[in-house]
Amino acid sequence: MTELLELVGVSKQFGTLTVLENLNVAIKSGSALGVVGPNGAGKTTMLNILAGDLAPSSGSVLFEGADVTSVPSHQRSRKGIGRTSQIPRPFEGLTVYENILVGATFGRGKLRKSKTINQACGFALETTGMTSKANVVAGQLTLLERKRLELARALAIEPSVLLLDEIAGGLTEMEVHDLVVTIKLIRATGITLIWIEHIVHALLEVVDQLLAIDYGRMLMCGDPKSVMASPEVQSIYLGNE
Amino acid sequence: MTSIQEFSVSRTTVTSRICQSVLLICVFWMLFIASGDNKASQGKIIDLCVFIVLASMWNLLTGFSGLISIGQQAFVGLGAYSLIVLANGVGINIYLAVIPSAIIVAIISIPLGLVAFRLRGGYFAIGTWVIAEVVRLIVKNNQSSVIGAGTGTSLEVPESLKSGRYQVTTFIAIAVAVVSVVFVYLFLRSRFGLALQSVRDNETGARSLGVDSYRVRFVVYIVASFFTSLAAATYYIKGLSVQPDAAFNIGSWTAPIIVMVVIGGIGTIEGPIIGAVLYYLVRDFVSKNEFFSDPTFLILTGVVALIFALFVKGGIWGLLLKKFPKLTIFPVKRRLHIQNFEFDQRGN
Ligand SMILES: Nc1ncnc2c1ncn2[C@@H]1O[C@H](COP(=O)(O)OP(=O)(O)OP(=O)(O)O)[C@@H](O)[C@H]1O
Ligand SMILES: [Mg+2]
Repeated sequence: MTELLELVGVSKQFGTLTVLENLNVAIKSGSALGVVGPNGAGKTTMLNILAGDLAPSSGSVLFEGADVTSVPSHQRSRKGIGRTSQIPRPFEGLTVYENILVGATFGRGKLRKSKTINQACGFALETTGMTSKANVVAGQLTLLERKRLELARALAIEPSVLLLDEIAGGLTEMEVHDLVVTIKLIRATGITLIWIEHIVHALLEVVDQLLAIDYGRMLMCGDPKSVMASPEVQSIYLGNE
Repeated sequence: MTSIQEFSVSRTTVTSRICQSVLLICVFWMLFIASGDNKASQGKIIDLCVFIVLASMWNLLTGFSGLISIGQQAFVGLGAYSLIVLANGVGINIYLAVIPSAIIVAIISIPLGLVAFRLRGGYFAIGTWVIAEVVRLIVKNNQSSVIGAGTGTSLEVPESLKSGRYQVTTFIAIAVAVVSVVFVYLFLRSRFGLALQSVRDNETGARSLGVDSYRVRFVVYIVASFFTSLAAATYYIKGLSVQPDAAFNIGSWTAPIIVMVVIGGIGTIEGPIIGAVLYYLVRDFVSKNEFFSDPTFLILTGVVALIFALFVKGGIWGLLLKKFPKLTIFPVKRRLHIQNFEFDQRGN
């Protein structure tokens, strides 16, 4: 297997604040990487750099082996990098279906046929269980529905890699369970995943690799169980809770 | 998983067809007046049509793409002066010069947009106003006899065109208004309109779904410049005399436009039309009264607009929609249908 997405020596400063420091992460096509770390560790910042919503201060981002560091976010989407965001960003004036249609229409460039677009919408609606909500205006959705919409929209671009940022945060135990089922479904279609999550047990049900970061530095990366069992990671989680 | 490949999408509704028919009757009524020879009524229809276009375009910029412009007078003035240059300078027939004037302004708007788009949010708004002022000063200091510097000039109407000018101009104004509104409607229903609304609601979100937000907004900026100057050129075939301070005046153009859109209902196609009609009806009604001089009228309508902006965000059209949720003249929403399937009816 080849590396699908890579961060090479990525650092990020906001003014004098260093948020990421020389981060090297690589994910193989078809695998699922979980990301854990305390609040403010730099997880979202890392995701933003992968998706092109933020530029790194130094280092580079590779996609399918090519340098995409200076490729803007809308073009990264067209290459197949999909994302959801920690704070949902619904298009509140559009219906759920129209929100998804944006991704299906523009996510992979302009030349998609309407049949392909319809199929992408249908797939996204069904996989996320949002079909019955299709005609609801997004501004009226509950938090769970907004999170599902984030997922549905990102799926509609038919990504080869999907970046999930705390998609289970703020949900009840039952809702988290349903979401895990959905994410497993997505995984089964062959989409590569990078999933940031505080709810570790949910993460462990899906991912085959786990990355732990703290203060913008990699603590450990590898087999999920051993990463969680390591003293460094344990101390953070115990200190955190 | 069940398969929903079988879904269909509908756009128009029964109500929208009825409302569109009513609107069409209004257009025919205006055409009827245009073919008569009541110059006073024709003048009012021209003004109304011009402002329907100006308001619709400002709304397209601000209500549909989140670009707050307070510099639309730049394109009114440029439209007026392009008409002057083409008609007086080059000698093109005044009616035939209208569309080329707007094309020229659309081309000029590209470099202006490149400057304005370096700014965001409130700075963009101020930038549009500064650009309008700069353009005004450039025109004002142009000493050529065609432009006429600070004192301005007048559109020269050849003897042969003098008699039917009000009639022809009214027809042009109605055509420009109808084309503009239909254009906005089709534009918003298209894929492009979908991209536009996504950018307005959440730019970062739209970009992560592949929408090139810069390009989308830039196109809208140019489109709005084109139609704004088209309306302005039409207006000046009626008004004839052009002075830089009046043509580039924020108080004569952009201020009433904002009032109309805010009162009518921002972010809807119907709102600006309702706002413009209402503005002219009220204005006409109070115009015999000495008290309602131009500045007083503007101040009063400004206060009303402020109250609307604070307490009635959706404007009059929004209020109507609350009472009659099914009401629509220009439906842009897509409604999904699947046979024998119950949809969540929230907000419907
Ligand atoms: N645009 C910004 N400007 C300045 N500082 C920022 C910016 N974005 C993030 N930060 C800071 O960078 C640090 C890392 O933020 P980030 O959002 O990446 O953390 P996180 O790991 O996602 O945390 P959480 O688990 O709370 O979501 C925080 O200290 C945050 O305050
Ligand atoms: Mg975060």
